[in-house]
Amino acid sequence: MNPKSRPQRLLRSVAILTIVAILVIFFDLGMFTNFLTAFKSDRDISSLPPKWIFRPVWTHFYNVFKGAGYAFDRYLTNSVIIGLGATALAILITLPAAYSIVRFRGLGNWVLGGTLLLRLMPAISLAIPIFVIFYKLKLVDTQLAIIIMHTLFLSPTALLLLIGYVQELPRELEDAAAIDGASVLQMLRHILFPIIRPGLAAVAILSFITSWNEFLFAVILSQRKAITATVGTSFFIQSYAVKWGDMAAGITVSTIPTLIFIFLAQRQLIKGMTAGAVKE
Amino acid sequence: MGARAFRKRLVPNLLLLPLAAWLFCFALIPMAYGLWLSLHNAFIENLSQPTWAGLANYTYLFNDPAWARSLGWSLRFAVISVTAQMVVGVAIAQFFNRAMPGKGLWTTLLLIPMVVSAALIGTMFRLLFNEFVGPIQYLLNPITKGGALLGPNLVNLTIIVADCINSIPFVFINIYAALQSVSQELLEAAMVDGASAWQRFWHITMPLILPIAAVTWLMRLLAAFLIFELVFTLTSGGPGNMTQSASVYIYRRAFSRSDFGMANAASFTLGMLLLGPALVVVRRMMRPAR
Repeated sequence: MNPKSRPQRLLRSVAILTIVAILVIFFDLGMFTNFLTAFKSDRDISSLPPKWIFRPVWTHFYNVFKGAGYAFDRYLTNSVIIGLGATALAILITLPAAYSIVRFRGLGNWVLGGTLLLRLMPAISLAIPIFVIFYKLKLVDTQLAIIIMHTLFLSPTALLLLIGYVQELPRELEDAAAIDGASVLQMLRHILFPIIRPGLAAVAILSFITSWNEFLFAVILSQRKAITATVGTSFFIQSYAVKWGDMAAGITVSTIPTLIFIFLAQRQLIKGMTAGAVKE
Repeated sequence: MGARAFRKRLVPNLLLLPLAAWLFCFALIPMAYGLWLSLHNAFIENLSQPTWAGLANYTYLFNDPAWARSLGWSLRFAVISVTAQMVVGVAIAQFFNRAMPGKGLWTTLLLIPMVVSAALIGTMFRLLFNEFVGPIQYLLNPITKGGALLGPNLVNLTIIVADCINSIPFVFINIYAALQSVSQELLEAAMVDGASAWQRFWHITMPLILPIAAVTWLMRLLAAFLIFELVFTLTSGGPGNMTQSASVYIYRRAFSRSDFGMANAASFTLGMLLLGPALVVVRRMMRPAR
């Protein structure tokens, strides 16, 4: 309220930016240091004090993809296939449900409650019996097994978001279509689907990232063939001599899709991650 | 007419069917099967024919000091870590709720640890906190007086800080969204009336953001109590089993000892413990959908 002089305002800006800088360092120092480590030669990694300026090398990225038998390119392929498959399936099963819950209620509330409960209950409690069942069905170490469980894992958030989008739709449009004699399925395809498409993109981005990041089901349901990038990265620890540089390179590669999306589609991503706690 | 009315009732339920079927096949049946397994001696060798054990797994579990320690560790960790996350998260949100140059970029940078997988964060810190080559361990040496960040003395604090880095952004962004809805006129009116910044926060802002803060707090509390990925990749429950959270205990039971009967008994117990608080959150989450 009280008018401030210019130096005072300047001082205030400097103070604010200092606090911001401290926060950014606290939250991102890890990511940044890890990024540097990925480009350090083995000798620079183990040098004390740690070097902040050094000659970058690509050895670790080369190792991760070509050398040392990590098959990281296969892990990445698995992550992409599982991510796309689970995202498509999750949208396919939650979109009709979201429509039904908003427009018709009835049994829908039970399905909604059950789905949301799933999001909060211990994932490990489900993972143990799932492993036994899939082990008996000989589905362990297949992409299909992980896709099935990721679909389940993605549906609570997808459902919640899609319900929000369906609620925004004007009912009049559907009523008009109903008078013209369109069936519910036709309505979904020709009216609901086109309008909701931007929302679907947001759900798809979030779902893909969530699947990409998921660890528990991916680690339990994979042994060799179906390993994802997020799981594969943790393998660098288990060897006798830890390959720190390769590990850092693996982490850097595995975080690239997430980082791309947080910069390009931050609004959609945040909306999805806060769905439930924050209502529109 | 009859057929039409029938279809009218059928269609809404048919639309629910795919999701309901998925829940039934891959959540409900497995949980029931898990409950059944928990009443058996089931190891990887005899998974096709587990032998009946009655409540033996449960009696063993309730007398197992390691399980009690795991539950205790998880509870302590959740309370301490989430309290810190709420305080710092609200403070950062309140701090960001003003005009500042480059705000979009700063927000994005603060949110990065939330969108990166907790498993990757854990793996990453395992390297950076390493006693011998970890650059962050080196930077902190003057503060820890050479103590290892992942050693017995500091490991609990280290996990809390790692979880804070991973989870404060979630609290921050939820509370920040809540703050947007607090009326500026109200705050300015209070300022004119001479209310201090603290008074304005406690008496105007706080009550208005409380509903969202409460759900955020409960969601975080449940997730922190069940923490798995971060601990598993950062310490694997060690040193020894000092940091063995309840989820890590169950994982080890199942996959290090292949004791699936016990692991399922612990799983079921954990699920029952969390059912009450989870239902509270579900009811709150369903409100906007009604």
